[in-house]
Amino acid sequence: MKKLRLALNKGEKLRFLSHLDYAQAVERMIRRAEIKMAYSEGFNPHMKISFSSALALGVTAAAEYIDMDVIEDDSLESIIDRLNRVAPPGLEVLGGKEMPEKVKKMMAICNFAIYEVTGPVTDEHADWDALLKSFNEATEISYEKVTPKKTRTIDVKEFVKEPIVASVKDGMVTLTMGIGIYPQGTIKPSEVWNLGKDQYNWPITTGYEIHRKAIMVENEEGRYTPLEINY
Amino acid sequence: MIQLDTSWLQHVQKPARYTGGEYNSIVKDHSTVDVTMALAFPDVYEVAMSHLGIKILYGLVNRRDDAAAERVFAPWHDMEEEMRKRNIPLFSLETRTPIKDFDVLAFTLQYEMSFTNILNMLDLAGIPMYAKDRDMDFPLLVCGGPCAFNVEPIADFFDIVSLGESEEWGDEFIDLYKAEKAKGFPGGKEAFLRKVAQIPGTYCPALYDVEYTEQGDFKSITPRFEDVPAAVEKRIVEDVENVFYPTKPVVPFLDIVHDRAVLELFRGCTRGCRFCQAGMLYRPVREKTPERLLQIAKDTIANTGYNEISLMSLSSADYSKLPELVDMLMEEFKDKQVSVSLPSLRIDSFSIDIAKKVQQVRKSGLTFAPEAGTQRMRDVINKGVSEEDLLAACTNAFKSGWNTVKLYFMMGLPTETDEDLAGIADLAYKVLDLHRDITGKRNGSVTVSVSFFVPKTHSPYQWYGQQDVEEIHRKQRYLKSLINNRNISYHYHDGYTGYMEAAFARGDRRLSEVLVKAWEAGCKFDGWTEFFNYETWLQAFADCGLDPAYFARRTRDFDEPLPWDHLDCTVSKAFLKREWEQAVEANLTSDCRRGPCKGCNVCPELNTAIIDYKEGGRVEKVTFGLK
Repeated sequence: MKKLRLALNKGEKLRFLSHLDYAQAVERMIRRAEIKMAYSEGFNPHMKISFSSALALGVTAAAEYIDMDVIEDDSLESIIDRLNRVAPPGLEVLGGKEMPEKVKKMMAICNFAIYEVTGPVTDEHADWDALLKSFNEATEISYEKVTPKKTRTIDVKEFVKEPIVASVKDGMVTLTMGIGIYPQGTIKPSEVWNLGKDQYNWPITTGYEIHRKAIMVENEEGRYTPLEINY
Repeated sequence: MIQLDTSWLQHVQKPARYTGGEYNSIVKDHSTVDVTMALAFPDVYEVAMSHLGIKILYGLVNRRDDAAAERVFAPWHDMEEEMRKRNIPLFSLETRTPIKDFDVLAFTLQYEMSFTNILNMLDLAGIPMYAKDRDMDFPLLVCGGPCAFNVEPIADFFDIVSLGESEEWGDEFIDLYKAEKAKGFPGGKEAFLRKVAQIPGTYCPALYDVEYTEQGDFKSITPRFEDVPAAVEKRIVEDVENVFYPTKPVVPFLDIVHDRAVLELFRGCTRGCRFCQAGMLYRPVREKTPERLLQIAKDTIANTGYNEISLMSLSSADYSKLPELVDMLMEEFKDKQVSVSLPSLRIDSFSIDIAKKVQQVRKSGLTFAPEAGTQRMRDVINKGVSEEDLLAACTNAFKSGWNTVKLYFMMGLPTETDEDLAGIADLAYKVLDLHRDITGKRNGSVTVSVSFFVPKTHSPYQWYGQQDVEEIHRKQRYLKSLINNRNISYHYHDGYTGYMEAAFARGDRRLSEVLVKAWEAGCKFDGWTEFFNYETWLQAFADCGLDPAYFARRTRDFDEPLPWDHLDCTVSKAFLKREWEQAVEANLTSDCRRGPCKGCNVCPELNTAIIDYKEGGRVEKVTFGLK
């Protein structure tokens, strides 16, 4: 058995897949490629595969990562090739590496993501540096996070530590935001967008598209993609 | 191509219902084909995508270089609201082309209570509902499926009805369409319909006149032209072994109702249950060989990545080579984590042995359909199953580790008494007691599910007046009073949906107006309990001066002309009448498959025969038709 870590994208054509839909699409691709996989024991055997995150419906991603336990000897390059031949439109295996047999759950170590949120602006001449200043310089921003189960107040700056950067083009603004994903929680990019609109008068509407540019592991030395580390 | 903006689309439920792009979906440039066809199913994506017929038609049309087929389903309520607000017309999943721009719009009709969704889809597409209001600039409206055998309540909306199996008909129709399109449809729509009507199995409602008596009863339906057939005979594909089969079906991203590969073992069923329309419509039994099925299964699994394959047919356990096939599939897939499932079980110990084999690990519930509670009642409906059969099947199941059994019954059957209903409760208790006796445990559970019988056309009960809804509700309460055990759960539906279904199942052309009225008043997704509105339906009937009871509850005379007589499934009326007479006497009619012909007329009429591999393939025997 060997453990492979692969980078895959979630393209525009797969934008509206939930995490479970996306995971199923990946599993079916693996089955079509006839890659011999390790399965869990028990009454309902599952393919041994784990994801770096649970990408929400509506979000595309430049790269998502999977760890998979393969029980065949084919080379990494050939496996990637076999997968790409039967991948659904909007999904491509971008690269990969062989990992040590024991690795940490990627979901537990991937703690930083960069998102690009794009939507129409209501004021084309707005000075975004000035608009973002108060948000970026604040030390604490409290936000009421509403989930179906409960409402609680969080500090946005605990998760959005770096300045948000804006770029405007053809009446659309793209806000690039780095968001921490910690054991105590995280904030969604859509929540930051709506917060800026409601509390910081950003000239935007409820219309937006979210793209995740990167998901990374941040440690003492810096930030790395899951393919750049060995655990 | 219609643009869908993420900013709002991401807020409707399950946007992937509308965005296509699934693996194996086929996108063609319309400028490179001669005929474009939108295949429609009047229900939501998850239901529509589970339907085998759509998969077959999709593959069948798209295998041709000169034709393109795309899918279109009913948008869910929230999506419809967005589309109307944004003036987005109904569009296809593959290329997001407005449905109005297709040459042909073909609906598959599975269920009467989805008829309003057809109207709603036409409205969303900007296509006039009535066929008479559409010239050749609009798509031709085609339909097929079981409800096509009584298409009269929606006949005013459709141009062309395909009766029976469509594989051969579909190619013939596309060939003709292509040729006539190239000539510019000389003579317009009517001339074209008259040419289509020459293809066997085609019914073009506009080419017929309907007459009613002064009392308002259906009197006759007659072709307006000499070359148009007075009665239309269904089509079958005799060579089911080699008929096209979709081994590259679209693999949905969403979790659909039946999310697995489907293997169609055979067509037809000749058990002859008297309530069953499908058993009459799809005769005769025609099997595929296990070798061919294994090849289809291998190809489908390789092409889809599914981890489950379902053995589908009207009565899968009746497949003559079932044990061999199951062994072959188990052997083929043993290292591939592909499981085999049997959706319907016959009530006997043999079926349990097969179920044991295929469900080696997961012991989910078993489902049986005794259909009625007493032997007398089961004999009336020709179910041909005894209490001993059921208990033997359950004994085997409980000994093998199953603890849950689901039992399906019907209520409102002809000659039914309260004693027959009490029999349902008795059976449930007997099964539960059996579980305790065998296992010594009290963790057995029995689910009793009882539906309201809807008499259907082309069955021996086509003349029978459906029982009154209030009587059904009384019977439901009565049965409920007899079931007082926390290990038996009892499920039933309100009777009103069944009543409306019965009205449309045996309705005539006058009901099209009722449908339009009901749709105008907001009826759609009527098969979904939460959206069914009985009062609105009653009002729609009243507005048209019609009474649903006339269609649903009236017992017809045997010599009365029926509005669907001209839609011929080839089972003779005399046979159905004899079956009715046998039913009231509680006499059984045995399966003709391995016994003598019973005279249903299908084989001689279609010049065909049963294909049964236990009998070596095509069964040559003397067949006849009661006239």
